[in-house]
Amino acid sequence: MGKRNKRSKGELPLAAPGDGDDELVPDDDDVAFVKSHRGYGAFFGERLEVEGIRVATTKRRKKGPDEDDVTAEYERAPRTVASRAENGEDDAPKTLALPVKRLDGTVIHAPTAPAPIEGAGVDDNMHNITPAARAALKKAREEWDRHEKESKALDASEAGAKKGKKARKAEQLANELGKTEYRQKLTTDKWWDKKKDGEGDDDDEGDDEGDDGDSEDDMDPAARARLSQARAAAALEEEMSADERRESVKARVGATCQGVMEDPEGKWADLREVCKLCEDRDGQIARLAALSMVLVFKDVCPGYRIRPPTPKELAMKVSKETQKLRDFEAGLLKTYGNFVRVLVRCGGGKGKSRSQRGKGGPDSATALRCLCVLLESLPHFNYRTDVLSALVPHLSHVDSAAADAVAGSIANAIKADMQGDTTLEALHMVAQLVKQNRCCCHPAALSPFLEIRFDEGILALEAQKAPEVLSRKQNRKKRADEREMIRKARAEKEKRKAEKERMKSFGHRDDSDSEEEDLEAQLERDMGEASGRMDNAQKKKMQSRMLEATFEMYFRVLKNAAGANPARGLPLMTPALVGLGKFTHLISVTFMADLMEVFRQLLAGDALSTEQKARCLLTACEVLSGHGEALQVDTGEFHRQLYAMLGQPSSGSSGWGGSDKRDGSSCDGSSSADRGTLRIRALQRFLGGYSHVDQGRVAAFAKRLAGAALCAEPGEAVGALGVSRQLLAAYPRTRCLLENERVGTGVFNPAVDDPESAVGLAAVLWDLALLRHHYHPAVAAAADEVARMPLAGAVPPALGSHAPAELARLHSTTRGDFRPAIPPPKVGKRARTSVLDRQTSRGGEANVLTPGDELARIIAAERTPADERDRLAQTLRRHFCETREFGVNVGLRAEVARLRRMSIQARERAEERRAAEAAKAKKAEKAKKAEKAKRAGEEVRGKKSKKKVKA
Amino acid sequence: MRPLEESEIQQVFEKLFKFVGKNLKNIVDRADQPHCFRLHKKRVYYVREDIMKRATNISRDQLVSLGVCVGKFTHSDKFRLMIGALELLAAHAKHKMWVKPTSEMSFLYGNHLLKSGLGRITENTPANQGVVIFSMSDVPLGFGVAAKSTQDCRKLDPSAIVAFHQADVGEYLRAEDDMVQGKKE
Repeated sequence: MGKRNKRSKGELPLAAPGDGDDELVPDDDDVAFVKSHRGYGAFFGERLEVEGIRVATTKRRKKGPDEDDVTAEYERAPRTVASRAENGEDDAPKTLALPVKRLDGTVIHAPTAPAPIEGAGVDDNMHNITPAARAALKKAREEWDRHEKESKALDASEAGAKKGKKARKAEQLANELGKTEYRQKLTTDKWWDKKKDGEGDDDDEGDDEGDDGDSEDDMDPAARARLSQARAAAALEEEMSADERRESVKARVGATCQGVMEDPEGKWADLREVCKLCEDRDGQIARLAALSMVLVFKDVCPGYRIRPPTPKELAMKVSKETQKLRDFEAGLLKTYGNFVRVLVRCGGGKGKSRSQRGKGGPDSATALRCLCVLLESLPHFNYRTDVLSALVPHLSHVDSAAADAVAGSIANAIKADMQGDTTLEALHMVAQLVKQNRCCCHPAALSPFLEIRFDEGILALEAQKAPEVLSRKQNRKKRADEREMIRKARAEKEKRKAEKERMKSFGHRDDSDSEEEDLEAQLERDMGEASGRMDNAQKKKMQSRMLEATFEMYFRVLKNAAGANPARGLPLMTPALVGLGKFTHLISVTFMADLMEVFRQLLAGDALSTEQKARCLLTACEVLSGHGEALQVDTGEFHRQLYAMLGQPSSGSSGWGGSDKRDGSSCDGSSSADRGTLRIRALQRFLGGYSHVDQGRVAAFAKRLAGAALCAEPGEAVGALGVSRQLLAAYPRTRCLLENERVGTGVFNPAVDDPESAVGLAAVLWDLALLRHHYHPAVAAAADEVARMPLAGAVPPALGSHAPAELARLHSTTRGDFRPAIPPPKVGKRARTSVLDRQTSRGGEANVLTPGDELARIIAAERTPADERDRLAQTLRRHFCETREFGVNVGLRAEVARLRRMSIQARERAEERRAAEAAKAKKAEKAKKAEKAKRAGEEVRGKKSKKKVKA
Repeated sequence: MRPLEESEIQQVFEKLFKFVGKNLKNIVDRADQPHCFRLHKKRVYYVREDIMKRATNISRDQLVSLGVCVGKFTHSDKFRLMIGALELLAAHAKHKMWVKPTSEMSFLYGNHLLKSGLGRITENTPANQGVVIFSMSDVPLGFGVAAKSTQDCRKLDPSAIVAFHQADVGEYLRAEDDMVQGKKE
């Protein structure tokens, strides 16, 4: 019970103001009783009201005759009749006269309080609202009916036997005390209750509640009906579960917002309800409400800044329409202010504690998004400063997504900003942020200001107006003149004042010349404001202030980097340099010396990464070249730095050794692939660009560039060779580097990091000979091109019309591609391969790795129900079976091959053996023959000897 | 012909240091061939050592010149750089000025360099620093002393002097007799 009680107290107003007269009905004891416990029974207040939607009419009619306030009844009568006709309700009074205790222990006293809503109004409105809302309402009603039935059943069973403890006590009290006294007490009680409830509301809604009541009084009936309907719906929603409530609120918010967008001047008051929902405890509801509020404001807010009317204007009598407009403006402004306040509270970022952020309201991401949209779409509107000041701190936080979003919205706002005041405000805020955080902000923080459009014409006018050079005498005279003028003006003023005093003493009334004048001036100003045009002087002032703020910010970053304790990682360095490069033509000449000094310090120090140094050089170059001064200044120091950097080994993909860990710092869209080209760009700007450079220096650079190309990544190598080609073409004397003969005195010293003292003219570009055999065809071609340059005379332009930086980007391999594309390897003689390899090359792979036709078809077919699944399983089974069989087959083939090999071997071995045996047999035969011959010989000899003997 | 004494060498180096700064080291210890300073008839010569050795064979009054004559000691024993030092200075100069082609001749006739004739200048040149003066095509024309710093040069009016003339290659014609000691007499 307690829980519900609390909830209802917090959320809802007890009764609409309409029921004040009914509460004073003196005779009805029951009514009095319930009234007296209104404060305690607040938990069912809303139910009473909703009950009122249906019951009130009948009730009131029944009570009608003996009611005191006949006129009120009379006023209400026609509507009641109409409602009865519409509702088609039967006349039988549905009274719940006795208090009812429900299952959960809550006591429902007789709902004798008249309903806060005229039923007719509600039903009339039913066809005004959207179907969704109507459905929601209907649903709510059904639910209510269910509750009612429940309670009726209870009513029947218990018949009011048990009353609440308090109720009983009150009854006793009523018996004891006289009626009038009791009534008196009643009224005081009620007064206290009401006050308390009012306070509760005040807490909820903030300061606008005070005149909320006032405005409700003079609201037109339709608005009031809508308001009370919304309240009723809110009351209903209290009863629902979270999901149901969300659905219902969604519908309600949608309907309300639609209504407001259709007729903002008539229905603006409805926005307050939605605004209240923005602070809902349920984050999702708050989110939805906030998002839809933003859309509505975007649509509804006027294209001018709303200004509170002056007392004079208030005192004036105005037409009805003007009054309506004025009301609309005031109300809209108030609602908008509240809404912004909620958003600012919730979108505070991580820096704020939970308690600071408050309990209700949308999550911080949504609030941030809302604020961003507000800034982008309503930069001219009131509370812009609040919105900006809530957004800007996000730029210093770690949350990269938030910072990017904020930066994007600020950029858009600046882009759309014609007057410049939004820009200036944002600038000041970010500059302050940068100052406070000691340049430790998100890199995106400075990117919006690249969008600023400085009107060069106006600024140039200012720049042209150089202070005239005066001699000392003239100076003195001028100053004296000025003094004289000031003195005269002051005297005049004094005189006029004295005269006025004098006249006043005679009773003369001043005819307020000055006031009239003021009025005229003001009128003129207003007209100017309305036309949205600024005069030149104002524009100039604004522009120069903007410029000042921008450069102050940039210089702060630079100075910080060059200072004793720079920000860690120098996150703002790159954006600041990019910005300086962009607005370089606007830098005042007086700053130049300081700026160059800072650059020199930065380059000499080791606070910067190499990539940042390259960027720094590029910016310095842009600053120098952008000015187009009459006097050319030789920038030896920068050349030295560049030369030294070229000498450092460039590490692989990132080019120039700069491995940038912070992804956010690439703010002009230069991805990692472009870093190599950054260096080339700097080189090109410095050497091939605007100014004339020493021959010796150029020669040293050409030599070092060729040397750097030897070990650089191909893209960069192409770029470096392109630059060195440009150098050689521009300075014909340096082409002696291509010759064998020694020119000039001294020996080239490759170890020195100073192009002046390295004696570049004595060098020989032998690097080109190596580069002509580079594996990358583009590099080889570029080297060849440089090596073939004629030793004297003009040089034809390079074959490709691309600038070196462009070439470098084109041929860069850091993105993983290779230009020209690498040809696929040639298919040569087939090497000895395994059986499986041979199989695959014969198309076996296709069999193994691609699913069969059927499988493919099934996969391609639409989603399968259960029987399809069987087929799929079957096919898959078959597929795997086939695959396995194929594997087995391969194995068997291998086995066969092995066996065949073995049998061949065995056969060979057998043959060998047979051959060996044959050989042996032959030998044996030979031996036998020999023996036989021997034997024969012996026989012959024997015969001979025998013959001899015979002879 | 004799090596310079301590005081003399200090004077010479001070003058050279004004133009070449720390590069003086490179002049004294040359990487390619050893060179030395010799004094002969109040003139200072910058000579390759092997030539210097050969020159010892020639008697003092017979020896007209050797190596490059970088300057001379005046009657009051002050050292003055002469146009012969130009090549040395140009190779190692710290601060340079480039003359526009239109005012090259004016400078070569021994006039100071005006702002209107200044084509280019090394950044950060302080006032009263020795500067070597080049034509716009990087041919050394002479040397002098900067009258104003680079910063001041920016705001100067065109007729103001930016460099005081000390020596120029026109002297080879104008003061031909003074090139070698004793020829005038």
